[in-house]
Amino acid sequence: MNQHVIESLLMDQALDALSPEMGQLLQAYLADHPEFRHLADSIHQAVDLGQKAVAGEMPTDIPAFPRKRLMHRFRYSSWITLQGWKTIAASILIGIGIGFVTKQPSHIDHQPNQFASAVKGPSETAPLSSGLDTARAFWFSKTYHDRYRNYRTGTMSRAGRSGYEKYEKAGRL
Amino acid sequence: MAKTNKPSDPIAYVEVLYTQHAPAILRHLYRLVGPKIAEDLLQDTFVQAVAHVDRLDGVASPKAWLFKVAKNMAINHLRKKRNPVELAWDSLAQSPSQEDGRLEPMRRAIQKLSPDHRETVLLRWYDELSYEEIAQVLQIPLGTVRSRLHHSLQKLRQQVGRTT
Repeated sequence: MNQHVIESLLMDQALDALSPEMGQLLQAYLADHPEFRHLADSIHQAVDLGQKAVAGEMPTDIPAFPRKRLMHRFRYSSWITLQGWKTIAASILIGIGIGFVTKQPSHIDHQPNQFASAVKGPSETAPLSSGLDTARAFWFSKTYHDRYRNYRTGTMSRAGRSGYEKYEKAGRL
Repeated sequence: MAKTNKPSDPIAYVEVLYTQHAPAILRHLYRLVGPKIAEDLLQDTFVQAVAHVDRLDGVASPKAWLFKVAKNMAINHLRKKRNPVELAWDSLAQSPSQEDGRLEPMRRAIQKLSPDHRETVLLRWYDELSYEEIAQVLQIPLGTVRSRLHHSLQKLRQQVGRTT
């Protein structure tokens, strides 16, 4: 064992962090190597001094256990937990309800949407089945509208322009 | 590290923990925020224990868990008061006229340690926590606790040796 390892073990021993078996082994080693005795004493002295330097008395007047306050807090936290579960359950039920309603075949009489036609082409036009599809169609058509405006105003890239020229020739725009 | 068996009644369980650890935690809080606030924070710590009794039951050392909560309470309190969040120990430094002459240099040497090292040393010597408990309270690896203590001890030995 080199000095660094010995010093490290001595520090752990002085700090009461060495297992009894390791402590015994270390003592046996020190008995055979008295040159480390001075180091051991110095470390133990420093720890002893440090402990004394920071020592404070344990407070004697400990306040009584605040049973009443803790009971109140416990009941409150149980109530909060229960309310939390109730809220989650209600949210799930509402979510299922909304999902059920929106997935039902719609009773609205759908008309082929001109924007959707522009997006998908006449052959791909499908009736809109729900509010979500309407929103999607709106954003698709807005995107295409923006691109078309860019094409018209000349702010579109060459690749994008050639695509639109094909569409224009085909009479889709 | 004595592990308390959780009784069916959480309040009774926390009361057992209070009996076992309240003096040490109060002492720890004295060091951090002074005696006036310490008692309030002690109660708040155990209110947290009741609120999180399930979590508390699963930890390896309820003592370390309570220390960690108390420390966080103290830090929050100091932040609210806009005090520098430095966990002090000045209030503990006693200087009776007949004490060992080497204690004062040792106190000064401890004060010169970096805040992290000083806190680790004080948790070991003042609060008498084990390495594992210190690691839990400070949320650092066990090896870091060990190296901080060793480094601090080396520095203290050098500084005290120089002054005496």
